[in-house]
Parts: sequence; C-alpha cells; structure tokens
Amino acid sequence: MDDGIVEDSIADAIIEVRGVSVSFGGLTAVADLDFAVPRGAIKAVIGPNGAGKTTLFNVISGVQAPSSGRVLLAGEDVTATAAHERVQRGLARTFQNLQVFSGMSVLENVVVGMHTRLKSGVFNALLRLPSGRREEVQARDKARALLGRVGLAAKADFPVSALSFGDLKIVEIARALASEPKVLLLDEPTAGLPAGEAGRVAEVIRAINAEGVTVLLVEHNMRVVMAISHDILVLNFGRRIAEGEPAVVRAHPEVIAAYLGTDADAQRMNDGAVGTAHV
Amino acid sequence: MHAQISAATYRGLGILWLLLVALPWIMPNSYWLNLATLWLTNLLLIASLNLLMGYSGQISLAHGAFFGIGAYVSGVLGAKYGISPWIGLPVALAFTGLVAFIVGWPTLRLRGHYLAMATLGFNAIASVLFVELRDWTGGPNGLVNIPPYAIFGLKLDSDRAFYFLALIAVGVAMLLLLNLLDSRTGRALRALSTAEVGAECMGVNVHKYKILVFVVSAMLAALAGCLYAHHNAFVSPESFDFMASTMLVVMVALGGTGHWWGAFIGALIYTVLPELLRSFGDLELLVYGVSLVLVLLFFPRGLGGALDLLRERVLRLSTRRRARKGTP
Repeated sequence: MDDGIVEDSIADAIIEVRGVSVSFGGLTAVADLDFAVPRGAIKAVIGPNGAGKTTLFNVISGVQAPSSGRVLLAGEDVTATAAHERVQRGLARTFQNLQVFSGMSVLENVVVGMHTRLKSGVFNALLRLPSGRREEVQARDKARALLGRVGLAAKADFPVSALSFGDLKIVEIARALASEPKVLLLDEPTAGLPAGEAGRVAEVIRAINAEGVTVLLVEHNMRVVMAISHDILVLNFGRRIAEGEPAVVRAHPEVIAAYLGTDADAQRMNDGAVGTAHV
Repeated sequence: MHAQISAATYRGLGILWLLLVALPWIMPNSYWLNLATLWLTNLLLIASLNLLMGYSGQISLAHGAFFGIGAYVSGVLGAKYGISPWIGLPVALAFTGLVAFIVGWPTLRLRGHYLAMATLGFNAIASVLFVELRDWTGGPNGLVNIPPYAIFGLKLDSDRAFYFLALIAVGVAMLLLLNLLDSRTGRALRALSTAEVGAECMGVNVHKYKILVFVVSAMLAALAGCLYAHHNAFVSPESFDFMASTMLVVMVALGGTGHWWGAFIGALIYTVLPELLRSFGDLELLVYGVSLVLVLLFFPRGLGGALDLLRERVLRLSTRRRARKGTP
C-alpha cells in the first residue's frame, strides 16, 4: 500500500500532478497536465466551463483514474490508491453538485466525515461497548464545534433536506474538515451563495488555511479567487494556459482571451504574448 | 428517508418483547402461537433484508437462498449426521457467511439492475442445488426427520417451548441489528446508500462495507433458516426459491424500506395474509401485487412511513386542541 516517497518529488509540494491525461472516449478532459500545490498554500484552479477542473479534482481525490500520468500526495505516489485511503492520508474534498447524505441530520453528515479518525468497528457496534459510545459522544461534540466554526451551529440537528443549496455547500466544508485533512479540495465553495455569504465562506477558507491546511479550490467567483489565493492555475480545454500569482494571472493575455475574448481579441492577444507565464 | 434510531426505538423494542413474553398466556391456542413463531422468523428475514435494502441501498434477490442454506446446513447435519442443532447453528451461520462473501465479492461492485440479476442468478443456482444434492437434501421431496433443539436432553418441541426459543433468538438478533445501525458502521452504511461517491471521499471503504452488510444480512437469514428447519422438522426446496426471495423484497417495500418498524409490519402481512387468502389459491399473488402497487403509489415510504404520517397528524391535532383550550 505504502509506496514510499517518490525520489524526485518536490520537497514542499503536498500535491503533485504529473503528466495527467483523462479521456472519455474521444473527448480529452485533461491533457498532459503538470502542476504542484505547495504545502500551506491556497491555490485556485480557474477556467471556463468544461475546462476539466472537476475532472482534475476527481483524479486527485481518486474518484476518477487518469488515462495516464501520476498523482503524488505528500511525495508519495497515490495514483493506484483508493479514494477512501487518500482520506486516511490527509486528503478531503467537497463536491460541485453536492454529495450530502440525505436522510441524515446536518450533524450526522459531519460525523461521517470523521469516519477515518474513529476507531470502533463492527463488534464494538454489535455489543454496544462503552468505549464505542464514548467515542460517539466525543465525535458529536466535535462535529457540533465544527458546525459552530462555519456558522451552522443552529442548524446542526436539522435534516439536510431542510437546508438551502448554499448552506449545504458549507456543510460539505465542515464534513471535509472533520476528517482532519492536510489538504482540502473545494469544488466551487461559493456557488449558489448570496454575495454576502460568499465573503463569509472566503473568511472561513482563510481561517482553515491559517491553521495549516493546504487548500486547492475550483471557483468561479473571481473576487473570492483574487482575494484569497496565493497561486492560481488557469485551465482551458484540459490544458494549462497560465499559472502564477493573482496579479500575474489577471494580466495574462490568454486568460483574458479565454474569459472575455472574441476570436479577434484572442488573435490580438496571441500576437502579443505567446506561451504560458509559469511562476 | 431513514427513520432515526433513538432511545425510543430501543424502548419500543423492549416493550414489544415484554408483551410477546405474555403472548402464550393471552393466546393459548397453538395455531396462533405457531403463527406468532412464524412471524418472528419472518421478522428476522425481513429486517435483515431491510438492513441491506433499506439502510444500505443494495438490492438482493437471493435472500431466500441464504435462508435456505442456513436451513439445509443445520438440518442436514442434524437429520443425516446426528449433529446437535446447537452445533449446526454456528456451522450454518459461518457457512452461509462464507457463501455470501464469495457471492458478494464480485457482484457488489455492480449496481442496480446488475446486482439484482447477479443475485437472482445465484438464487437459481442454490435452488437447483437444494434439489440435486439429493443424498443430503432429500431432493424435491424435501428433508425429513430434522431433530428439534434440546436443552439438557429436554426437547424443545412443544409449541410454547419453541416460541420462547425463537423469541430469545430473534430478540437478540434484533437488538444486535439496532446496535449496528446506531453506530459508526451503521452511519457509514446509511451514507453509502444515499451518496456512494460522497461516502468513499469521506474515507468509507464502500466495497468493504457493502460486503460486510451483505454477509451480516445473509447470516441473519441463515439464523432464521435454522429456527425454521428445527421447528418444522421438515424443509423442502420451494420454500427458498426465487418466489420466496421476491416476496421478501416485496415485504420490505410494503413495510417501508429503511424504516425500522416497517419490517415488523411487513412480517405481519407476510405471515397473516397467506392464512387469510388460503382458500383463494392463486388469488394470493394478485392481492400481493395490487397491494404493493397501491401502497407504493400512495405511501412511497411504505406502511411504516404511512403510520409516521398518521402519528404526526394526531400529534398536530392534539397540540392544536390544547392550544385552543389554553386561550379563554
């Protein structure tokens, strides 16, 4: 299971993606992509719809096997490691279109996030041993505290079906945090939130990062991206078109073209600057 | 979707079992007592299938086969080799668990229709084996002379004695089931039943848990099989065929998938309805079919869910009445 540290891995990278390609039939969602997420950073992945951002997240979290290439987590090759085991090793994620556990309370959803950090197994459960019950009580207290941190303490005992899409995005963040991750993947954390709420989520992300959790996020809200990211990767059609600090990326002609440009604009931009600004 | 397991659920189970202890004195008629025993066995079958279908979101059309494997293993050991049913019981449970593991390993990677078809195929194979392994099973004529359970040489072959044995066995099994659901394991199962990718990405080894629940569910069915075989003293293949498996799925749905008390209602219908419809012959199937369609049409959460709705309505009415009394 344990592959050991890959020899030429980047020392301060918590995630490394090496030559990753993903094809669905004839469609290439991610094409020969290389990039790294530095330990302790907030890194954003942006790009137009269909740029391959969610596919990339699926590859990193282990939901989707790459057609080729490797994924390194803390210097270890995890390409063949199951998704649930990557959680054990400190990776957690949220989902663009939600993967909440319906039929459970908000609190229970968060407790599921602690799955890998709790010990009691089947026999403990069947016999309802005191050690297992104690662990349950502690887990619930901890989940309540986590919900307090993201501002959802009052809704802890609600069934998830009673919450708005925006609230559920935040529940997913709390649930991911419950697994005590080293690196957190957030897929569009502010989608579906009213403007004021987006700012609050940005603050939560910053606070999580301040406690030493590396954050990789896909986000469409440019205000949030520019405000909190140390580093931005821009994808288009599964390829990197730019990477670097917010200021560099914002000024990058291909980025402007991909987001705003008409064909004529893009042509003009391409005449001016060719290649990618890799910092 | 899943009714919450709480202290009240445990209390409910305790109260029900206390009432059931008194049943032989309330219903001294052995016909009714045997029906109650049958209800207990059916409850175990339906509750264990509900664990798999309702709480874990997997479909199995082979529950009848696991019921049968439990019955035949313990029955054959007793009838053909003179081995005590008390030894036959753990052997049957272990063997059925092993078979479920072997069947579950490849098939539980499948979903929806594929899982249904794979388990359906397995039930067909088991049915053939029950008939063809003639030297052991007695073939289509069935297995006779299955000895009853005995304690210190005292045979538990009276209706009342066996009823108490079944009451203890099923009571313990239901308690274990409740414990399992109200735990980290049960939570993982409920999680993977509603969002499989989400559960996997929260660190739940989805395939492992699916196999675990499949094996536990099959072993509980085997326990029901042991009780059934040694109570009846006779088993025959048609009790464990595809029709039996289908009926169990129907009863889980009628009672309410993922509803704790739904299994009790499903078992009641499964036990009593054939008795009521006996004189109508094949009409029985028609009644099952029509009632399933009607219940699922009007109460998608089964009769258990319908009772919840009724209770909520009564509670709301009574609070309104109290509120009216409060204002002069």
